[in-house]
Amino acid sequence: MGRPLQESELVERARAGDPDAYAALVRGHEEIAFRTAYLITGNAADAEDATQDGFVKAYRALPRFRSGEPLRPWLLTIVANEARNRRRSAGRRAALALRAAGEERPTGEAAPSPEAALLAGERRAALLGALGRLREDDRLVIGCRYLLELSEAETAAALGVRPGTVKSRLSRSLERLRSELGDDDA
Amino acid sequence: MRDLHEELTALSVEWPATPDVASAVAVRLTQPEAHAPRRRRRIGPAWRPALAYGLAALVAGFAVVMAASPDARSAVLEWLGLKSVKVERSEPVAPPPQPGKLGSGLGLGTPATLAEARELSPFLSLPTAAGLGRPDAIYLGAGSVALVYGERPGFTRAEGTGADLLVQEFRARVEPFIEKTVGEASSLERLTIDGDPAFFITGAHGFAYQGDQDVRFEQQRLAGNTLLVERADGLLIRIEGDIGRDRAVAIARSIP
Repeated sequence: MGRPLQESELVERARAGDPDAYAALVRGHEEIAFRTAYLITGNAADAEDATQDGFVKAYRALPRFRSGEPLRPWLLTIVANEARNRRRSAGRRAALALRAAGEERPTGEAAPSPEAALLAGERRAALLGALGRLREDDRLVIGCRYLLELSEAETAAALGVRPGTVKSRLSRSLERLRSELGDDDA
Repeated sequence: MRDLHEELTALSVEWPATPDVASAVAVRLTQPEAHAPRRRRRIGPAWRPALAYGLAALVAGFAVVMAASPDARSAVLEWLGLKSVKVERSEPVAPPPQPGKLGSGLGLGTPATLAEARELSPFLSLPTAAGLGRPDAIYLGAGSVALVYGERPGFTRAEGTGADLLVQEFRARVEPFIEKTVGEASSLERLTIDGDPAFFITGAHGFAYQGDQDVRFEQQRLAGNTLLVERADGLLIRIEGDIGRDRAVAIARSIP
């Protein structure tokens, strides 16, 4: 098989009307876009709709995409916008229910004792619980940076704020998370 | 004070399975803008068959090219998402499962104990989902292990297998070696599970697979709801049972 196409080549082909090129682009970004939308809407069905509508709109907006710019933040802006519209029209506070995956990322260290594993599991659940109780703004900036591992620029795109705002908002949000966890008096 | 930054960095979350957005978007982009539905096109009975048909048609459309070029063939399968699985659309035909020992007559291979399976198939990894416990029967095929679970609380016996759950693990290869025939009554949904491509097929469908050339056996039978996951570590997981998508995804995720 030949060399995989670069993203910029796929964008050019998609602009020229190649549906397979656009499908390949969507495939490459659908997971991060869906998870971003899920973080905003709090439910998978709305997140799926927002992601789908976002990618359809992005296709139609491709002529306005500036060549050479990174595609992911641009796509995230559009999908996150769809997600916010949906969340507003739903008119309810989404209770984001995230569960910690069974294990933390492998660190190469020896397996912890059952007691230590239990404590770590409780701490992870407490962390996610506290995150779920935060205001939406706080929750989203922490979710984008840590759970989705978006860059500051991508987080700014997803939240619809200036990149300079992300750092200060994140630090305030972490303070509030700390106090929600009851860690601040330690 | 604990380092919140480090804790958050180490935290990983169980995200819902990513739906097949690319195929849905591709379908919508073929419609004129004015007629494109603005509301959701939920993965549901109304359009799932259309999607499955679209995927199958794509495979058929490339059949000629594939015959001439293995590169093109793997490219198409890659585009479909799973390299080791080929899906075709036609009405499946299969003999009913044979009565007998749990899982026998399904062409899963030769019976083995857990210790034998572990020794002969080092890639074997047991699911740890709650309520499953150890499998009741194990079969070894060429490059595959089948785990058969009899009665389990909260599960129902699946007609196609006569068991509550069947989990198969294959060492995946580039050439497609599992073939599935999806009929009109069943539907196919492409998913991404933690970055790995997957298919969830509901309704009875044909299922056949081929082992290595020297230890060859083929089996065509009707399969029930099935999840196929092709993991980045080269393990192909197949989970069959009378269970829904989310439960199958949870079982797949419980395999270390």
